[in-house]
Amino acid sequence: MLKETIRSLASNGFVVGAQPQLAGVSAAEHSALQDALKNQQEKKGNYQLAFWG
Amino acid sequence: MEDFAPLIRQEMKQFAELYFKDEKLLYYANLFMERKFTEPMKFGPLTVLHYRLFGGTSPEAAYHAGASIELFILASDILDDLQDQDAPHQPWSQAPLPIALHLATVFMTLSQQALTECGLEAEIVLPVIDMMNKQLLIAANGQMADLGNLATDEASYLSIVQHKSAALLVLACMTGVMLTGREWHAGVAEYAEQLGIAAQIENDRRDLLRWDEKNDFLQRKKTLLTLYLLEDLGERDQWVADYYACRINETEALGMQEEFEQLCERSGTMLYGSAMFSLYFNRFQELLGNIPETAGKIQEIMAIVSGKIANSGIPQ
Repeated sequence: MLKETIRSLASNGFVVGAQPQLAGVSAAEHSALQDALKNQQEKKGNYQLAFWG
Repeated sequence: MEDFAPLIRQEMKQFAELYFKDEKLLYYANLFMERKFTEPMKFGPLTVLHYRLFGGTSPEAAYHAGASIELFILASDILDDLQDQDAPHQPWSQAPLPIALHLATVFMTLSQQALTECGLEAEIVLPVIDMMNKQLLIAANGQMADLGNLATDEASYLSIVQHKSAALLVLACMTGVMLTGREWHAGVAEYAEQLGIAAQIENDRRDLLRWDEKNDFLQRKKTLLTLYLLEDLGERDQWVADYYACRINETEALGMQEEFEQLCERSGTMLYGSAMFSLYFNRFQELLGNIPETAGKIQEIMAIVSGKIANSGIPQ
């Protein structure tokens, strides 16, 4: 489950090098998580994704 | 990229001038519309864009429809702000309540009138009106659940969003499609719904980071992100649950901004919001690409939803 994967990442200090636990995470969720981690790393505009302006 | 907003605004003002004969009614209508015009316009332009993408050729139909949708959205925004009491700086929050409510109701009626005067045959317009009313009734149910702060988990929250904000995006896109004479397009409904959910998640992320009357935590709102936060609080973070249970008052909570922001980061709340946004947005893009009329039009649609139109001359 995506939520549990994120909580696990959070409890490990968001160590980006490690692969997130994938059990129960769909391909779409995995892709979405990778997008989110990339945005977090790049710290795009305080998380504003300039989407719904 | 063409900016549909100026002509939609023009139509909205012309309809108000045409039908609002009472001086005070017209004054407040213009006041509220001008305030709305300072924000990027999304729903009406999506209507116009979809009308064009699906082969519509009448400018009158396109812009009357766009105006119709925007008049409804304005009415909806007014009522939403009055219900939530979280927008004190808006002119409708500052106007006497009976007047603000009255303007919301007349904007809704004007919205319907703008559509009936779009110049197309009744065989085309009547099914659109039928669809519009059905979508608005779906949104009304979602709004009622939202008012009651009834979400208890992710699934129930997403159901509310689906019935509230996403239903309005479906309405905007589908109005454009059906004014070309087509029937309800399930594919458009599906991607518009995904886009609507993504947009609401983005709003929720923004409303968790701001520290004012629109902050969802301070308002004790149950959103995707506050529910995530509440589900797994550590011992030192129990003050969040205490606040939701009203064991801590607003004044005390207001002083906890730094702690709250740090909690949102280290708990993964913001990452969760970002991931959920991407999940729905990626699905929207995938579905968009499956429809011949919209495949390859992601840039046009994103230009509208992000509020960034080149040379619009309108403050963003």
